[in-house]
Amino acid sequence: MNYTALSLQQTPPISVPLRFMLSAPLFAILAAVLMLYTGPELFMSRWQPALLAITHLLTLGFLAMVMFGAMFQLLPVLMGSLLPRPVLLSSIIHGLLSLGIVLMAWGWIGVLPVLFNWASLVLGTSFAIFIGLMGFYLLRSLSTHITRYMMLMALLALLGTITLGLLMLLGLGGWTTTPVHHWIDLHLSWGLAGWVLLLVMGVSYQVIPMFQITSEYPQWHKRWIGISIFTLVLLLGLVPSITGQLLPLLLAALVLIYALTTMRLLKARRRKLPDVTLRFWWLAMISLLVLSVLMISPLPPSAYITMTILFIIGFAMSAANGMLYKIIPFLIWLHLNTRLQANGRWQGSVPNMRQVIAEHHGYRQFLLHLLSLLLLLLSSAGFTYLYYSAALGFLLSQLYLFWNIINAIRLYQRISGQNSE
Amino acid sequence: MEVNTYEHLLDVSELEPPEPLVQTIDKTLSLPEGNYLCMLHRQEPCLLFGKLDELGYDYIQQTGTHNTEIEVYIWKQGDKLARQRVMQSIGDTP
Repeated sequence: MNYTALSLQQTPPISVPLRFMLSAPLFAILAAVLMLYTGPELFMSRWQPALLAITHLLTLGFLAMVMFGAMFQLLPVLMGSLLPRPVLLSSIIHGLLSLGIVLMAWGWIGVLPVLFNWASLVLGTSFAIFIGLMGFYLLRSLSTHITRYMMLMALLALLGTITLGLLMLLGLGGWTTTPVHHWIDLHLSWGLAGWVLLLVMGVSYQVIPMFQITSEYPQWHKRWIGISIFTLVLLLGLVPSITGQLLPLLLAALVLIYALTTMRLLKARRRKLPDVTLRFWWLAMISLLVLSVLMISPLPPSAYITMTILFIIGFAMSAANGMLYKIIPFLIWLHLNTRLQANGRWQGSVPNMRQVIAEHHGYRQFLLHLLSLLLLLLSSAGFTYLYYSAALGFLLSQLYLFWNIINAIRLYQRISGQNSE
Repeated sequence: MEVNTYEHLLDVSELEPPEPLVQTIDKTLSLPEGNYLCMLHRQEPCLLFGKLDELGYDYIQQTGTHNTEIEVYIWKQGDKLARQRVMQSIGDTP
């Protein structure tokens, strides 16, 4: 990497990542409202339209939003690649993604098949631009950092996930007839074990040593675990006849290795200050650990929903939520500092990271997230009387996250206004 | 290793971003003539070098010898004495 060419000026305008990151809790709030509206019968079957809508509000509305925002931010800084017209492109991708998610969720809730056709068109365009843009610049980047390869593999998995998803949406809209069951399993494994897991892993290789002051992940881990998971996920699609018990067993073992390695690093971190992101990482890794055990345990089909909650909310949303508490304060500091320097000053009143989002606000939101996760898991496992408490807890947690992000943005606006005076 | 009076040691290896950058820039801006900063870090400080270029400082990065992964020597551009002392220090490093 050419470090002398790397400059803070390479980071995109702050509105680029923030538009995605601010939207994420809004879609999770929508999901929580839908949970409350639907009632405990939500967990009766994995094919419930409301459950499908909620799942996609969380995977696309929350997770993809955070991940898109993080990639728009990380790519120029880590990879040394400048993205062209970042504001215009991120606005188009963000706008189409938001509209597509709403159309799709509305299609399921309102039983309106025509909306699936519109959703597939809008979402397809958004994802095509995003994957094309990120793929092109990742391939062109000269970086040899493992995060680049992890992002490329995650993008390929996303391409597979989205292609299958769009075909199924068109099927729901009456345009195609599809062999649905095998495609759904593939859509799930490529989306969750491919796109989500590989991207979180790739980003964690960067941000855990950087922000949690840990040792680096071992070289063997970075070299083999990601590519092995990608190969397994690919095999699940290409050679479905050999899936049997072997591939899930291998996948569970790899997931377990990643969770245990990360937990070992976190436990031996050099800086012992309390940190809310650290708590989210622990929760994400414990969820992954439990999930890897459940994956190879003889469980009834009804456990499927519990396992999905454990992956999406326990692992992926915890990791993304925790990272938001580092990424957003860091971006705000970075941009305030850059504005200060643009005015010819190198030292001035820029708040530190912990002043942007106070630790106690992050901690309270973490407790709400943890509580709602436990209640949701119990509720899906048969304790249905906990359902409304779980949904309400999840709603409060996401409202709190949204409030924390909004306050951070207000602080940025206030100080950038003062510094430009 | 003997620390010279003109060498300012700054260990940022246990600080989270952006503190290593902030503290390094603060120390750099207060370097007297003939003095240099030796910044110790656990990883390559990728955002630092662009800032040092803009501020008019030279730097050399090398593998750490103070029980940290990375050492960065920083001095004011055109400060020949500071540069000479950095070169001596690096040359003296076993």
